Amino acid sequence: MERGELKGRILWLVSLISLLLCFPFLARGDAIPSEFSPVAETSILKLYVNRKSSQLVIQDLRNGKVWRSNPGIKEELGIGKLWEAHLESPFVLYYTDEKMKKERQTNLVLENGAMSFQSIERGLKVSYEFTRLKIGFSIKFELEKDCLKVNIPAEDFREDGKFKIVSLAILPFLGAASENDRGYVFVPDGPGAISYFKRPKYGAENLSKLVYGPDSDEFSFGPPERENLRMPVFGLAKNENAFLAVITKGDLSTKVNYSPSGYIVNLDRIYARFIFRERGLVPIRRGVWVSKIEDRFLKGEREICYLFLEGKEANYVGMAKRYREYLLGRKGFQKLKANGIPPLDLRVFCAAREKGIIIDRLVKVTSFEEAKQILKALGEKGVEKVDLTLVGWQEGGYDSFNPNRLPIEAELGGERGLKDLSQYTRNHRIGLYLKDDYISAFKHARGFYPPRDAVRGLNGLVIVDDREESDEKGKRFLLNPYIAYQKFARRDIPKMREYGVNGLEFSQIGNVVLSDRNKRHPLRREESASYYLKILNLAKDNFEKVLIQGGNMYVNYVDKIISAPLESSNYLLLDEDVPFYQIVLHGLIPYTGPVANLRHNPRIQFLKQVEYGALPLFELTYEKSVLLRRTNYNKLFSSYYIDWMDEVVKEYHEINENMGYLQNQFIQGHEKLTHGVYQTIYEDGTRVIVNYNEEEYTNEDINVGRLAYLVVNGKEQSQ
Amino acid sequence: MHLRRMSKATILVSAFLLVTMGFAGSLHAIQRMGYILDKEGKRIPSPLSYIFHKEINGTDYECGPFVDPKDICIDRKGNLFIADSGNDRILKFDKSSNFVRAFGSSKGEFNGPEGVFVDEEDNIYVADTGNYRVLKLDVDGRLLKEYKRPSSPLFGQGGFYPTKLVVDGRGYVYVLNKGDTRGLILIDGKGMFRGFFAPVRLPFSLTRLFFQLFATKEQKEDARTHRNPYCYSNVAIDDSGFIYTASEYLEKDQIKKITPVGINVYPEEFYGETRVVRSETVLSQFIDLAIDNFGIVSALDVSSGNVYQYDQEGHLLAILAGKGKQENLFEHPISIATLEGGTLYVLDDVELNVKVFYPTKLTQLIHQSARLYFEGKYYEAENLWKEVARKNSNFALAHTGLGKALLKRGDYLGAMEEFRYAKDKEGFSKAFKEYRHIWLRKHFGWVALWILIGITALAILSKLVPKLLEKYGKEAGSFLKTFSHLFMILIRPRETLENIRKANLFSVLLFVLLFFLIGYLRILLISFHFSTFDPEKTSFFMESLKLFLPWITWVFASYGVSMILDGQGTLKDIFISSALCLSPYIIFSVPLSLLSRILVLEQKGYYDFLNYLIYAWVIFLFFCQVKVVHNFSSKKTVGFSLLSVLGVGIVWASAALIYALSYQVFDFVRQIILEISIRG
Repeated sequence: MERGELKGRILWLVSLISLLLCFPFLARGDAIPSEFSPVAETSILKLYVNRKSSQLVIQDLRNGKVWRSNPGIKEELGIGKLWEAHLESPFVLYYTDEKMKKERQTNLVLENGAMSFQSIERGLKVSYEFTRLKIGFSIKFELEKDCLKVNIPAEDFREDGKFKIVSLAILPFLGAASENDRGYVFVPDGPGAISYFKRPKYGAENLSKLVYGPDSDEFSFGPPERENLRMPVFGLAKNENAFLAVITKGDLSTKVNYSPSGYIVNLDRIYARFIFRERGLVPIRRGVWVSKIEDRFLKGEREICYLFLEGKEANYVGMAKRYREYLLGRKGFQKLKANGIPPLDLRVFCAAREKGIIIDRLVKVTSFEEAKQILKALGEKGVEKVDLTLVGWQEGGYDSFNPNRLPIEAELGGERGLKDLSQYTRNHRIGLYLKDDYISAFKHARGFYPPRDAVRGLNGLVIVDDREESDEKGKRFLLNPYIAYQKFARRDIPKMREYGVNGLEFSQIGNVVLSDRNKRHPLRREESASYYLKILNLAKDNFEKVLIQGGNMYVNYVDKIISAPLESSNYLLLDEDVPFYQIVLHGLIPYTGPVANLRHNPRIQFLKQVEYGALPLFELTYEKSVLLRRTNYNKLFSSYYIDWMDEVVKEYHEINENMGYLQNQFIQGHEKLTHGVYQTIYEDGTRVIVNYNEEEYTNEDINVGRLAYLVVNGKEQSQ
Repeated sequence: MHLRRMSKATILVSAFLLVTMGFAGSLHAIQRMGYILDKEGKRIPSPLSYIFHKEINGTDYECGPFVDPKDICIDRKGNLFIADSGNDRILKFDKSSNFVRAFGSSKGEFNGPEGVFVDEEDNIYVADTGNYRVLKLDVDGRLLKEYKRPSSPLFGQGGFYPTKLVVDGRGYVYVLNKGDTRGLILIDGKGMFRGFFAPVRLPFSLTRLFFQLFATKEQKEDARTHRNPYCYSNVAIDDSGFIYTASEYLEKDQIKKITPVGINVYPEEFYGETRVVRSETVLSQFIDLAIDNFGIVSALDVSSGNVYQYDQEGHLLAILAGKGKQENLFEHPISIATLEGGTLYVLDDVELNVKVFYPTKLTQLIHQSARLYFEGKYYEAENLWKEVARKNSNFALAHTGLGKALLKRGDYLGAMEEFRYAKDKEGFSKAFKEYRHIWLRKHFGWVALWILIGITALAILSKLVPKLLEKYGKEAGSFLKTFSHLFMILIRPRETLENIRKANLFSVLLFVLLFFLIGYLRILLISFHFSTFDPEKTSFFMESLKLFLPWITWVFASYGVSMILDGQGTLKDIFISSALCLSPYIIFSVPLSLLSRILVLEQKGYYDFLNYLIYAWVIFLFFCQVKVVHNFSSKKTVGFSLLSVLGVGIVWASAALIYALSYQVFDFVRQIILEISIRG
C-alpha cells in the first residue's frame, strides 16, 4: 500500500519535473530553422529572413508560434517543376512577352533570380532581378507593432526587355494549412465567409475575386456575381494564431485568391495578387473571344499589412475587431454617439416607366402628397421617427433619363410638391432623402452621347450594360466617372439643395467601381473611385446626410449604409457566412438589411437581420404593386402600403424595443453556439441569441423558441 | 498527396463563361431574386422559390465519392436511391441523408446501371444498362425478377439498352431504351412484352423528309444516336398513374403527361425557355422530370441548369437554380427527384453531389392553390391566391385564379381587372360577357333608344351626304374637296377616281398621314381581349412600316408594269389614286376597333369578317384604280394586277436579298476592323 503510494508520488514528481524541463521549449514555441536570421523585432513580432531564398519566418512573441512564408515541404510531390518551385518562392510573377497574348507564370526559384538585401529602418528591402526576363522590382518587409508591412515601391519596377509584368502574387503560401491544422480561411465576400481546413476535395477550384467587385468588362456578361469583396482584407486562422491582411495600397487593383486544399497543392492558402496590367477576355466577333492583356502599366506602390493575432483573438471576430481598430480615426471613422431610438428606414417608390407603342407611359404609384399620407398613417400607429427615401422621383420616373435627374417629375407634384413634402418632413422631424444614381446612363438622355461619355472596355468599345434583364437591352450604358462628376453631379447636386431635402442616397457608387478606356478621360479604378468620392463629398457639402447602398469600403464615410450585405455569394467552396463586415461597422455607421417586404424566406431573413445587427428597411407604394408589373421597376413585386402597414409597424417597434439601444455599440463577440444557433455580444454585455432551428434551444438559463431570438440585456444582468 | 492539375486557361475561360442566371445580384445588388416567365416568354422578377438546404456528397460518407452517377429516385418513405453508375452500384440514403447501404457493389452484379426506380411495395427496379437487362430487387436487395430483351417478334430488331424506367400500379414496367425511337417499352409484371408506349410523333417537316431521302446510312445512324428528337430523355410517373416523358431535342411539346392509354393531356406548347447566350439562341433541354404528390411537375433543363416547375395543366409556377459555383446552383445537373411537400433533390454529375432544396412558404402556397385551382375549387383557392398576389403581384396565375373566383362570385368588373393583370384574354372575355349582359339589361331602354337614333342618323346621312357633297363639293375649298373624295370613293369609285386626277400631291400626303394615324388609333382603341398588339413588343415604327411598305411597293410596281403595258396613268396619278384607295381602312378601322370593345371572344367571327371585308374592299378599289387610271379593259386589268402583284413580290425578294447581303458584308467588315484593332 505504502509502496504503491510512493510509486505514485515518484511518478507525479517525474512528470512534474519533465513538464518543467519542457516549459522553456513550450514557452518559446516553435523552433526557428537555422537558415533564417533575424532582421527586425517589435514587442510583438520578430521577423527572420532566409538570405538564400528570401523566405520569411514571423514569430509571434506573445505565444512563440511562427508563421512561415513557405511551407518547406521536402518530399516529392509530383506536381511539376513549376509548382514545386512556387512552393519555395515568396511570390509568383505573372508576365507576358511583347505579343501580349498569353500570360505565363514564374517565380524566384525557377528564374534563379538575383537578390540584394538592404537593411532599412524597421526591416529589410529585397531587390529582385531576373536576367532572362529583364525584369526587376523590390519588396520591403517591415515590422510595426503587430503588423508585417509588405511594400512594393513604385519606383523600383524595371522592364528592360520584351517581357512585361502582368501581376504579382505576394506571399502565396503564407500560413498555408493542411487538414491537420485547425482553423479556416476568411474571405470578405459580402458580410464575410469562412472555409474550414479539411480533407482535400477532388477537383477543387480556385476562387479569385477582384476587391470591390468586377471591373467594367464584366458588365456586358449578364448578371454579375452576387456579392463583392466589400473590404480590402482577407485572413487565415490557424490553431492558436491568425492573421488579417489589410491591403493598404493599391486595393482597387488587387485580387484576393483562395486556393482550397486539393487545388494542385493539398494546402489551404489565401493571398493577394497585385495587378499591374489588366487582362480579360474580349469579344472580337460573335462567339469568339480572345484573351487580351493591356499595355498600360498600373503604376503606384502596393502594400499589404499583415496583422497578427493570437489566443482569444485568433478568429474572425478578432480579425474584425482589429480591422475596426485600424479604421478608427483613419478615413474619418468615429464612433456613433447615442442618439435615441433609430428611425424607421422607409423607401417610397414614386413612378416607373412602362413601354408604350409610341411613347412610354409614366406609371405613378406614389405622388409626393401620397407619400405624406403614408407618413401620416405611420404616425397614427406610433412610428414618428422616419428616414424616408424617395425612389423614382426623377423626370420620367425611375431610370428614365439618367444621367439627368431634373426636373422633378411634374405628375408626382413637381418641384413644389417636393418642397411641400420636405416642409412637412422638416416640421415633423422626419428625414427626407432622394435616391439617385451616377453610374447608369441611357442612350436617349440629353447631354449623354455614348461614344463620348460611356465607359469603354478592354477592346476599346463602348460597354453595353447587360446586367439586368430588361426591355432596355442595348440602351443602358455606364457613365464615365469623370463626366459623372464634372458634368452631371456638379450641375445637379447644388441645384437640388433648394428642395430642402436632408440628403441623398446613392444607389450604385457603393457597389460598382469601373475602369475606363474612354480616349478623352481614361480612368483606372483608383481614379474612378476618387471621382465617386468627389461626388459623395459634393453631396456632403450640400446636404446634411449622405446614404449609400451596398457599401464597398473604399467609400470613406457615409451616414448610413442601405442594404448592407447579409449574405455572401454562397459559394459551395466556402462553408459559412460570418458577420465580419457587421462587426467592423456596427457602432461606426448604421446599416440596414435588404428590403424586408421582398424577402423570399421571411422568418429566416428576419432572424439574420437580427443576428447581424441590421436595421429593417421597407420599400412601399401608395398604390398596388401590380400596377408596376409591366414597368422597368417590376422587381418591386410586393409593396402596397395598406398590405404592409401592420408588419412594418410591428417589426420596427419590436426591433427598437429589443435592440434599439444597441445602435451605437460595437459588436464585441459572435459565435455559433450549436448548429443553427448564433450569439452576438455587444459592448455592454448584451447578448443576442438567434435560433434558426425548428426546435427550441435551451442552455442553462437561456431558452430560445423555435425560429426566434432572445436579447439578454447586459446591464440588467449585471445589476 | 492527392493532386490534380487543371489548365489555367480552362479555369479562366470557365470562370468567364459562367453564366449566373436570373436577377441574382441584380443591378442594385443585394436583393436576391428569381424570375418567372410571362406568356410571351419574357422574364419577370419574382422572389426566389426554393432555398438550398444541404449537399449530399459521397466524399462525406463511407461509400466514398460517386463516379459518373446517372439517376436518383425517392421512395414513399423518403429514402434516396442513387444509380452510381461508374461504381456499378445503387446507393441508398435515408430521409435524413444517412447512408444506409449499397446494392450490387460487392458481387459486381450490376454493370453501369443508369436508372433506378422504387415501387409502392418498396421493390427496387434497376436499369442494369451494361448487362442489357432490368432487375427487380426486394427491399433487402434480393433478386426477385430479371427482365431481358423481349424475345417477342413484335419487339423487332434492335438492342435492349434500358436506361430509365418507371413501374405503374399494375406492375407494368415502362422502360426507356437508349436510342429507340419507337417509344417506351412496356413490359408486364410477368415479363411479357406489351408493345411500345407513346412514340414521339413530329409534325411534317420538309427538312426531315429531305434528310430521309438523301442522307447516307452513316448520317442516318449518327442522327439516330445524336440529338435525336424522337428519343425521350426520361420518364416519370405520378400517384394517379399518369406517365410523364421528357424530350431533350424537341422544339415544342417537350413535356408530356400521358394517360395509361397513351394520350397526351399536357398542352402542346414550348416548355422551358429560349435564352440568348453569347448571341446564340439556346432552347431548354429537358433531361429529367419529377412529379410530386400534388401532380406538380419539376423539369430539369440541362442546358441552363434551371428547374422549371409546372402545375397539373402545364402552367409555369416557378423557376429555380441555374448554373454557377454557388451552393444553390449547378455545374451539370442530370437527374431530379421530389419528396412529398415539394422538396427537390438534384443530382449533379460534375459536382458529384445531390443538392436538396426546400420550397419557400410562398412556393408551398402556390402549390396548394394550384391544386385547388386544378380541382376547380376556385372559391377555396381564392384566399390563397390573394395571399400569393399580395406577396408577388407579378405572378400571373394568381391573378387568373382570383379572376376565376371573382367571376364565380359575380364580381365581373373585379374579375375583368384581374384577368387583365394576368393577360388572360379568354377569362377577360368571359367576365366581360357577364358584365355586358347585366349592363345591357340595366340600361336596355337607353341602349335601344340610342341604337334607333343611330340607325336613323346613318340612314339620313347616307342619303344626305352625297347630295351635299355634290352640291357644295365644287365650291368648297380644296382641302374639304380632297377630303370628300374619301367618302365618295366608297359610293362611286369610278367617278371619284376619274375626278381625283385633278387633285394635287398634297392629298396623297393627307391620306397617308391619315392612314398612319388611323393605324395607331386602331392599336390604341382595340379592346384588350381582341388585341394582338403587346405594347411591350410592338413598336409603332414597325407597325407603320407593315402598313406603308406594301402600299408604296404597290405604287412603284404598278407604275413599272404600266410602263411596260402602256398604261396611261402617270406616276402622280398612281400615287394619288392609290392613296385614295386606302379609304375603307381609314374610315372603318376605328369603328371596328370600337366594336371590339363590346364584343366577346365568341363573336370574334364577326369581327374577323368585318376586318377582312375592309381589306377586300381596299383590294377591290385597287382593281378599280388600275382600270380607271390606265383605262384598261377588265381583262387587261386582271392581267395587269397579277403582274403588279408579281412585281411587288420581286421587289420584296430583291430587297430582302440586298439587305441580307449588305448586312453580311457590313458585319464582316465590322468584325475585321474589330479583330484588327484588338490583335493589332
